[in-house]
Amino acid sequence: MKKDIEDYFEGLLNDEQKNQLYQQIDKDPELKDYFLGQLRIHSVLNTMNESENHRLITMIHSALGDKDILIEKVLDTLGGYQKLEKPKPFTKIPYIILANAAVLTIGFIMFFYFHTGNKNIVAVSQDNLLVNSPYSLTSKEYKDFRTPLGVKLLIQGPADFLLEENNKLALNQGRIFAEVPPEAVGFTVVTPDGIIKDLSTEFGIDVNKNKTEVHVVKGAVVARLHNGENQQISNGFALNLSKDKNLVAPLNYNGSSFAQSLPQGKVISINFGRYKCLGRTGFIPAEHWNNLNDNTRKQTLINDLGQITDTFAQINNASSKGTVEVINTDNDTQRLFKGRLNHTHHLHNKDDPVDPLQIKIENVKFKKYDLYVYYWMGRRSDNHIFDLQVNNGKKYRIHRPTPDSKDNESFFTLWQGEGRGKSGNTQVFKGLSGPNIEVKAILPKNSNEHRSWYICGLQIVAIE
Amino acid sequence: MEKYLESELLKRVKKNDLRAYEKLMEVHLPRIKAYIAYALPLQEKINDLTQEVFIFAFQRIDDFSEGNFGAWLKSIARNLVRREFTNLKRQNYNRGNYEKWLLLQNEHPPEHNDAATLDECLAKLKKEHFELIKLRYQQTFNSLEISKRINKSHAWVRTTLCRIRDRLKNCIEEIQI
Repeated sequence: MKKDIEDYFEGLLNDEQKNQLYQQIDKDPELKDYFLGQLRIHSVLNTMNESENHRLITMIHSALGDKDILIEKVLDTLGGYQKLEKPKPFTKIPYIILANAAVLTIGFIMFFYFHTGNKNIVAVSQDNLLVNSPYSLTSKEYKDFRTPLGVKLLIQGPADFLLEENNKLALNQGRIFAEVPPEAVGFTVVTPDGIIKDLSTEFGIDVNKNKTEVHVVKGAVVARLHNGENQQISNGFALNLSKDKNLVAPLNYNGSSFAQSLPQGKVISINFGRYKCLGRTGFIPAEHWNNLNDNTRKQTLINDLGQITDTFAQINNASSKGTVEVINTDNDTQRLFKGRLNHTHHLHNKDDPVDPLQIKIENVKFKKYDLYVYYWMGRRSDNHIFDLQVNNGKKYRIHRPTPDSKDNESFFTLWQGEGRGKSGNTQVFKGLSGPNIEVKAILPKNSNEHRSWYICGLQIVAIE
Repeated sequence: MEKYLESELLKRVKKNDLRAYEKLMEVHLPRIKAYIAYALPLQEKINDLTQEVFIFAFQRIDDFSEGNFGAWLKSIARNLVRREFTNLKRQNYNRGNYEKWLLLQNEHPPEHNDAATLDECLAKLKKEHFELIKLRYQQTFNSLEISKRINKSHAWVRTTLCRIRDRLKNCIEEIQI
């Protein structure tokens, strides 16, 4: 039960699991009190985030500040956005002051960040929670976020956006795909052209110069221009909002063009012939690999479950199985995807099987990419050879000593700790395309020399 | 904040000095926000209501003559929470929105809570538990990430977080009594 509550707070329960939890709570008054207590304390503890409080102070400050200038900028940026604000009935403050305050708050941030050229990316929390802060993504950059109410957003750069309220996103430019859970029905996206309000759905929005495209994949949305003209569309339909043309027009539906998950690859099978994947094998995300010291680089042991068993190598997220880590770098748009498969293939006896080593990767989302295959060869003899082949294409004969290459700096840095000199190198397969990759390392027939080599790394570098 | 300093800042606020008001907010906002978060634990309302408290207080600062500024802010917050609670009740949330529905089963939001005592209760936690809370709520790691960072099982982290929250709740209630 306690685990379920924590999962619930972290948004990890699906609808069925949530309903089960709710039913349990309903049956037991004590549990109800317990849950409410947990909810209240969780809510209070969530206010501990100091940067969030500071941002709130800044917003209040700006809301109380120089109204006239900011109002102009807000209206210029958001068109008729202020019409969405509801009156605040409690206070004796005239409604207009509060409405202005809310608009000013939004306006200050929109103006300051979208119109002053400040394109700094603001760090998000570790669990990708989108907070009330402006964000920018560069070209070719993808990021996934979730809002406090659980809306899942996948945003593709170039993009500028801001979560104005817990259930309202201002999107100045960019492509987003939104999955809105029942708790967040009414999720609203404000673009320079209009306002899109969710009616429990999944949809994609593309905001670029002078127009906003809306494609509804599931459910329905209401889209409206800032002048009030609106239209409801449901799944399988799309429309175009244009502030300049004062237009809400139908559009050819193309919902599948929106990326709905982060580009990622997945190692689906590794065939070692008769041999199990044991010992110095396994996958380690590159950034964690870099945390290994020289000693642990030599001793990294990964068991069948993909867990690092070496006590010196307690690395987060290390795994020999599962999904290859995706790295969306902030600045290096060429290196969107990176991972290493550290794998050994030792054959010391003449009669050992000569099955090829195969590594398959699927779901590569890049249109075009280079594949870097890092390898290492045993140093007992300079006669080691094997053939490297990708997607059943040309075979490359690999032999020791490996050729020098300035391109392999990172590889040699990686292995310098072992003092293996020219044992390792990189074979680059340029300009690959397609979602699947198969790498084979093949021992040539009649090769009776020492046969010891590793495929110790794979790296996919996106070109487009 | 020393009373003298606070009253000096309040004098400046009454002359429309926003910088002085910002200083006051730095002190009082976390507590007011925590108060609202406890009374009405709905994420989408907490920031809005907190803003409203401070905008209202600034607009009505002349109404505050002497006394405890924090308590005055809290009374504004209490009124706003009650108003919001009443509004929400009118909207008749059904079970499709379970958290709201559950909260609104009560007649009123909790009256005597004071989440400002949270600091006191946090200070009573074991160091290990306090660190866990900081990882979860200040550094916003999720439980899986925490389990890897501190080398404990995922189940342990989730269960312990629940236990700590329970202790904090009991502690807050005891102090109020």
